[in-house]
Amino acid sequence: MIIHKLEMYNFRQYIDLQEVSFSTDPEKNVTVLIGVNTSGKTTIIRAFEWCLYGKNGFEDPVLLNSEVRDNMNVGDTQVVWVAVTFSHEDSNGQKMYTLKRKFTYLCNERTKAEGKLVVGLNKKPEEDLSLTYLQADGQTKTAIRRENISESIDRVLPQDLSDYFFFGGERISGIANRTDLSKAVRGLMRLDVLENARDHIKEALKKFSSSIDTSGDSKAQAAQASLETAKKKLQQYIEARDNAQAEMEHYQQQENEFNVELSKSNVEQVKKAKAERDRIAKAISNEETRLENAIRAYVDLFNRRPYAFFGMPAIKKSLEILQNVNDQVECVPGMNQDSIDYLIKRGTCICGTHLDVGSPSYQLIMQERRKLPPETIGAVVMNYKNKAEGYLSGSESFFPELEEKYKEIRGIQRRIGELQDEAEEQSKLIIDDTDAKAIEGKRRDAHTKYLEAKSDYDQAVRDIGGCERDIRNCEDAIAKYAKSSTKNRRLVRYITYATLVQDWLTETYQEKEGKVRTELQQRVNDNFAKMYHGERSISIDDKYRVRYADVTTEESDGLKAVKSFAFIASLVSMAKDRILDDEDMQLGQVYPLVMDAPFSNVDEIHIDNICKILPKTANQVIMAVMQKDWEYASINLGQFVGQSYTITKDRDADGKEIDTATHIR
Amino acid sequence: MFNTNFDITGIHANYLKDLCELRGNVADKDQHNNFKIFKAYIDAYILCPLIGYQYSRKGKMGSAADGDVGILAEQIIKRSQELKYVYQILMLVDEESEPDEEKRIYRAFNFSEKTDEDKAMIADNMRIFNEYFLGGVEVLHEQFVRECIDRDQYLLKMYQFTKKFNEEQDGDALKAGIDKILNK
Repeated sequence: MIIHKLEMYNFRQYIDLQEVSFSTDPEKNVTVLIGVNTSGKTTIIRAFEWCLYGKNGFEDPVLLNSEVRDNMNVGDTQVVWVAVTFSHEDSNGQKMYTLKRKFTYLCNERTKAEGKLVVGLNKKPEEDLSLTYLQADGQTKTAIRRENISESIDRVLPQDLSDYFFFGGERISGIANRTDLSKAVRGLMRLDVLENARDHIKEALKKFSSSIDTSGDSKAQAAQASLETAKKKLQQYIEARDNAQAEMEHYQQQENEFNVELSKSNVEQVKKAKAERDRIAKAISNEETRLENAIRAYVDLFNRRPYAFFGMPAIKKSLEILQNVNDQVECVPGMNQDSIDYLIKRGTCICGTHLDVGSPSYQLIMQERRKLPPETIGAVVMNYKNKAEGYLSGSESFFPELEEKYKEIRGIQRRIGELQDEAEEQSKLIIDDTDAKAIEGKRRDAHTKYLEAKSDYDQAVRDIGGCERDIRNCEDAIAKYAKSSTKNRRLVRYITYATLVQDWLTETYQEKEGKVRTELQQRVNDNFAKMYHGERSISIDDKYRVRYADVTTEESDGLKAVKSFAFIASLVSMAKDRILDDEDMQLGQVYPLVMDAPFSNVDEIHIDNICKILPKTANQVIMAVMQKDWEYASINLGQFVGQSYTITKDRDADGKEIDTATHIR
Repeated sequence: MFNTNFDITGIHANYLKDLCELRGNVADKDQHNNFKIFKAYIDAYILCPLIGYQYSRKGKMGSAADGDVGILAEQIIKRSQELKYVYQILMLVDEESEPDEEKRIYRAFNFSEKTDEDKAMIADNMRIFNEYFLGGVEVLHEQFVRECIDRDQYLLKMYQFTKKFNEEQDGDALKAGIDKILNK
């Protein structure tokens, strides 16, 4: 930031428009404003502070020139404003900005009490703030939105750093003794840019880490575990099934062998019984198949339009309703539902009646609409009746057919029961024969074992089916979680990148910070040595405070001021020299030094020394000095002065200075 | 209307699984391995609203945590003519939800969803339809699943249930009455 111009209009003791152009010549970079005590030097620093940050440091907060104020009548308005024009370089190049802050005062009281004039102004004057910049063509002005102005100014010169650039002599001695300067140093050296970037990436890392979905992982693991269990089980079930199948075959074989033996039996009766029992067994099997079919047909019957049967009472009622209404349906010929929709949209009927939604007229017309085509009620009712007819056909036989089928099932079941009894009888006949009895016993054992094996087999087949389903489900689940783990992998990659960037930022920050500290230490010492006549050296601690390297002794205000000058000059020169810039990073900024009576506490020798150094360290020096100080300062500073002004006051007829009519010339 | 998937949540979903043949992909098939009186969910969806109406029973859907079953749009669309017919019957006769006969006729025959009013009405009708459906499911579950243990009991109950209805409602007379109206 380099300040080009300050304009003040009726600001405090400065009357009318005062305009100061500051030197921007890189060689002759000093601008001096020379005035006597109480001439209004401090007001210039305050004008900057008010314009840039809205800071009002005056005891009497009214900023309007008091002569102007005294001439106001109730209802009059007067404005006071300050405008600062400066250039600033950012990533988009260098631009010229003008910031203007304006108060409009309204007079609301004017009285004379005991010969004293009292002019009252509104406590909260209307404030107007504008920031404009010139486009590259040097002519077009672009305004920055009001809500963004203070943020923009903060980027150019943060308010909490402004103390280091706009200061009065009484303030300077305190600077180097502040408790913690690290924030200011980081800000001025733009290390805060790196700091902010590091904090931002830290936040991003946190977000990435918390987005990793580990629940998906644990679920996928659980699914994986279930899958393995299911696969093991499947193996077991397959084994069990194969065993059962082998057993089944074995016992069936045995039974067949015993059957063959039984048929070889000499006893005619046993032979016959055996043949009979085989026939019965076959018959039972046939009946069982018939039973299955009959049951299936029974359920089919129950599912054949049961609603037509169970719905009959409701259907009859519905038809009765329609029968009653059908004849009464009457409607306007040639009119359809669209016509009504049009009327409702229009809001008035053909007869002019308003058709507000919900009104009685609206209800009437809606009633009419229901009777109108495209589907007249008559047509839809006819359609409904036809449908009813179709669906109802056969419903009269729903119950009789169901009943008949049920009776058939019962008949088959009875038949199976009878056959089973008969088979039992035949078995008994076989067992009566002593020879055959033993064989028959073994055959029955074999049969029982066959049935057991078959049951085991069926169970195993069912289990295998269940197991295969479980396996499919597990595989689906794993596939689903694999998708979320793709997301996780991506996040892990982001985290890796972000960590690398973070490490780089931290490293760079530390490196640059170390450089700042070393450089500052050196420059402060150099400057101090050049400015201070005595034998003292100073050092910088971890909070950038300036310390005397030797034992601390009583410190005069003058010494404090010299120390602060050394510190500020060093800081500003570091910024000016862009010590941190490299190919990848452009952090450096230029700053002006604006000082009010900087030498008030400093003795002549030191003024001499400071003046040798200041113009070389800063890009721009603006100082308001007292005539007597300037006499010393100009010896060394004179060659650097690009612009100089004097602050003067008007005099009245008696030659007395008028406090409220100060000018800068 | 009757052209999207229909999801049933809550205890009624489990009732439905007890009443209908289940396809291979039902996870808790083993818990519903009783004899089934319906061949598919859609068969129950068409009949049960009328059973609910007949028994004056309505049901409300519960939370998916208690049960969850869906009928695919494909199944519903295939049977939408029958569903619409049952819907019309209900809309015409259910005086409880609409005492005004003329309005019942309108709501039964209006399928247009042109105006917001019509849309709201159809949504309301569907709510009534589904409430009776769930009521009917409840009735059949009580009658069958709670009463029967084995297949033979189910077979008998199907017969008895139909027979009782036929006797109580006098099916023959009903049919004759309907024919009279239709053939006149």
